[in-house]
Parts: sequence; structure tokens; C-alpha cells
Amino acid sequence: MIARTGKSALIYAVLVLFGLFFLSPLYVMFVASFKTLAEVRQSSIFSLPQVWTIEPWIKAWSGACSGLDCQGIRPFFIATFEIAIPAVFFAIFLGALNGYVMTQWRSKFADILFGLLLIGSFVPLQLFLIPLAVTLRELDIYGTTVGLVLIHTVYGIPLTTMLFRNFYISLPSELFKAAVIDGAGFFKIFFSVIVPMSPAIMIVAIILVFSGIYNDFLFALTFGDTSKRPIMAAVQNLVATTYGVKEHNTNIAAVFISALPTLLLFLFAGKFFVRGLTHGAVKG
Amino acid sequence: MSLKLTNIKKMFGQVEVLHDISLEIDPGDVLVLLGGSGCGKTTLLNCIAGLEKTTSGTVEIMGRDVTDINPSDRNIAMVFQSYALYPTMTVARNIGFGLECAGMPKKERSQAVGKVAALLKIDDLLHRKPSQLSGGQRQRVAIGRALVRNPDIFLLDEPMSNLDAQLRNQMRSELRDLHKALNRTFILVTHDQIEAMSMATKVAVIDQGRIQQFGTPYDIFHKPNNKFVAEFIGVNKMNFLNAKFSLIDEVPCLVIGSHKTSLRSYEFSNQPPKDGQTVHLGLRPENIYRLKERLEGQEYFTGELEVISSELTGSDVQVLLNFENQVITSRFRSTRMPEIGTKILVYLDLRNISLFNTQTGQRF
Repeated sequence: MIARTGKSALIYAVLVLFGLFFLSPLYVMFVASFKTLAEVRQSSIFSLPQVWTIEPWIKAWSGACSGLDCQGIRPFFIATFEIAIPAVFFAIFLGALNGYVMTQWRSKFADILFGLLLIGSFVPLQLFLIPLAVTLRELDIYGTTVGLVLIHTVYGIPLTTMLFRNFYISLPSELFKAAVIDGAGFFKIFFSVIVPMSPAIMIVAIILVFSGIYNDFLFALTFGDTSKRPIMAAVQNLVATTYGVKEHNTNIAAVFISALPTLLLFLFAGKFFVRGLTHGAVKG
Repeated sequence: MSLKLTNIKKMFGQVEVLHDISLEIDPGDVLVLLGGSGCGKTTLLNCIAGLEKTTSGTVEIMGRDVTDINPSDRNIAMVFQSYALYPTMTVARNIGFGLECAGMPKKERSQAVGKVAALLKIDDLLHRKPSQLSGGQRQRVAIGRALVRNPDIFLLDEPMSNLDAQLRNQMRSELRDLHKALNRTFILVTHDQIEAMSMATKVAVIDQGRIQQFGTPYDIFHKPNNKFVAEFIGVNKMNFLNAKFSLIDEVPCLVIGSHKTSLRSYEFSNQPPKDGQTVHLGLRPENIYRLKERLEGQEYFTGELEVISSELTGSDVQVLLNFENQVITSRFRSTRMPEIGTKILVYLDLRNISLFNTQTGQRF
């Protein structure tokens, strides 16, 4: 008994140690974002702020300068959502529709198409840059929000298709046949039978696609609107400013703010995420 | 005529799973498609429903050619093996979904659903989800979904295979009552011959995509068309004995070793065998008796036969006997269990036998 408690105590000690190790950068950032600039420069990185201040957070949100532009990261934050929300919506809608067609309305080409889509999702993004640039120019949406929405939607479709297809393939085909006999058409079956069964997998898709778009740097930098850059490009601009005083506390606060949405998404939807990923593994 | 199939053929790629199936049933019939797994019975049901396109041949329902018509426009309803209830909808919406798709206004719809629910005694479950129901209740909802559409033909795909034995008996008699009350055509797919015997007015025994026999349950049991049907039907397997057929003074006779009897009562459904031809005699274990009084006719074999094995199965005892160096299976009441190695006097009743061609397996 004692040996066992000793053993588990050891395990917990090691786990806590690793936890602290991985959380330490977060801690350093957290305390630094509440210090004054002077204190950041002088004190140890692990020490708590002597004077707590939320000045850096306010400045990062609405007053920090990148170049001549001193409006913080707020506009970029909003701009990112303007891109991410429609792109997530379209990517998921089209992915669900694709998965539905591939599993229930089986055609000869379903497997070939699925293979092609899979390949599409593994090709490095950089390969697409020039063709995408040309396409966006031809469509006359280069450097616009619409352009980025289009790119992220298209790039999200292989992932969402894969997710929804693998989920829908586990649905019994009798369900679909019953709906056909009941006289439901293509979209009626999709919206009344299939979609209501999909919330778990939809949350997985939302988390993956949203964090993909939100964390995207390459497309944001290349195709983003210069005055409405997506957040990752904006933070980079802010942090990488090469003239003036480096305001570490403000920069850190800006990084923090930019990381919050994905962090919160995982915290609140993580439960569904795991449920969605393991769905179908156990009959239920 | 409520259903008429003419030369139905179905190919999956290069594989022909249904070969030239034709049959016809009347309104109010209960047709059971009976066969082992993979015999094509569910495929045939799907072809009738329109869920599978036939490769060739025509399907007619109530005199209307529906071969190229959508499942929902055939005026049929189907109960699936897994019930296939929509898991996110309430029981009420599950039942009414077909009407909803047909565009029926909400008020009429809920009236129709209420009526069906009352009939099936599930009116207190209408607001539940399928996951909150027991197996028997799900079954009822699935039947309700079929009922509410008031179809010409009910298609049921192994409807009782997911229920336990007790519930199955109950559902079986409820289905029979339902059929009596509605007087509609039912088509039922099953691999359970007891279900087939007790429910059907017509049975189609299917094997390897072919109808082996189509007839009443009585005929299927007592006059099997071929050796496959003879072996497939019957809880206790039919005995097959090599026998010699002979004509003595134009009277058909059957000879096995030193046993010989006339066969006046046998009705030949096809050309009788030739004089001296060897045939297979199909004899059910239930037609072997220990008492002479039980014989149903004048024609029988009798003798003191050696008991090879004797196995208790409960109310019955299964006894293997040596009859002219051929092993026959018989069943007796277990209260008189014979010892192995002893000889017992038995009577082989030849009133309800089948004679088969040794080569083709077809009934004479």
C-alpha cells in the first residue's frame, strides 16, 4: 500500500514538473505583460510585477504602432474574424455536402475524388502561391477580404471533406434508404437527417479549420489587405518593428490577445473535440 | 394481383445476384422471401422497393408498372432490419416524416400520426427520441412509420431479427393481427423458417439468386420441389435414402433392400421415374413412428432396427437408426428413450414422402 502511494506520488511529481516546464513560458509572458517597460528590462523574467499595470494590454489592443499606424491590433483582430467566419462556414458546409455525396450517393468517382482531395490537403501551401496570386488577380479580388475567404474556403475543403466523409461512412445506409422511401430529396435528407446528426464532427471541423485560418501567416502576409491584415501578419509587423523603442510588454500583450481565441476555443470545445474524434470508434 | 415480378435480373458489376425471378401475388397475401444469408432475398426486396435498379425485368404493383418509378412514388412502405429511425427526431416526427416530405400540412399530419400511434399503443412515447426507446418500442415506431403512409404493400426486412425470443413471438402475433386488420399485402424477408411458416400465405424459397420453390407454406413443407428446399425446410433435417423404383403390374413400388411396398398414394408432380431407376427417398424424422396406430396410410416400411445413437434434446429424443445399412434420423418422445445397441420396432410412414431424382435433385 505504502509502496503504491509512493509510486503514484512519484508519478505525480514528475507530471507536475513537466507541466510546470511547459507552462513556464506562458508564465513568463503573463507576468511580463503586466509589468511596466522599465521593470521588464530590469527585473528577472520570473519575478512577479512590483506594480501591476494593464497599460500594455490596452496599448496593444488599441494604441500600439506598427510603422506610422498607431491603432493597436484591434482592427486586424476584427479583420481576421471577417475572413475566418465566412471561410469556416463555407468550408464546413461544402465539406459536409461532399462527405454526404461521397458516402450516400455513391458514384464510381467517389473514391478517386476522395484520393485527389487527400493529396490536395498534403501539398505544401507554398506551391500554390503563384497560381493563387494569378487566380486572385484574374478574379480582381487580389488583396481583399473576399480573396482570403475564397482561399481559405478552398484550402479547408479537403480537410472538412475528409472529416465528414469518415463520419458519414459510419452512418447506417438503411437510414438513408428509409429517407428515400419516405420521399425525401437530396437536400431534405441532408438538412433534416444528416446535418442534425453531425454536431460533434462539426465542432471538430470548426476547431481545426478556424485555428488553421486564424494561425495562418503565409496567405495572410501574401494576399492580405495592407490596411486590414489578418492578425498573425499584424502581430508580426508590430513585433518586428525595427525602429523606435521595443516595447516588450506591449508586444507580449499583443501576442497574448492574438492567442486568446484559439485558446478559448480549445478550452470550451475540447470536450466535444475528443468526442467527435472518437465518434464511431465505439458503437453508440 | 398486388405484385407481379417478371424476369427480374440484377447484376452487381459482373456478378449476377438475381436470375430471372418471376412471381405474382394477390392483394392481402403475405409473401415471405425465405433463404440463407447472401441468397439475394434482401436484394430482391430492395428491387421491389426501388432502392436497387433492376438490370432487366419489370416490377408491377397493383397493376401499375413501377420499374422506373422512384421508391417514394410506388406507394410502398418499408420496415428495416435496424429499424433505421432518424436518431435526432422525436417519435412523432419519425412517423410523420414521410407525410412531411409529401407536403402534408402540420395539422393533418399530427392527426394521422396520432391515429397510428394509438393503434400501435405508442401514443405516450411521441415526444421521445429513438435512443430513449426499448427494442420493441423502436420496432413499433418503425411499423408506425410504414403504417402512416397507408401503402399498398408493406415491405419488411428481417423485422424481428433484433428482438429476443419472447418479444419476437409477441411481435409475430401482433404483425399477424395487424395484417388481418389492414388486409394489405405484406412482403417479409427472413431466414427463420418458423417465422415463414407461421406468417406466410405464400413462400418463395430463394437460393443463389433463384426461386427454388414458390408456393403455400404447406406445399413447401410437404411437397418440396427439389432436394435443396427439402433440406432447408424443417427444423429436423429430412432423411434421404437410396431406394429402387419399380413398376409391378403398372403399380409404382419402392424397394430398399429386403423391404418393399407399393406407392399408390404418391402424387407425381412430374414424369414418374422409370422401372428400376434408383431414386432418393425423402422422409421426415417426424414420419417415423414406434406405434402402428399412428400410420396415416397403408404404405410403410417396418422392421426391428438397430439404435446407433440416442440423444436427448428435451421433450424429444433424437435417435439414429440403421435401416438396410443406411442411417436414418428419427425423433420420439423422450419418455421412451431407447438404449444404444438395442433394436426397436419402428414404422416408416410413406404417406408424406418425397421422391427425388438422384442426378438433378428434382422432385418426381
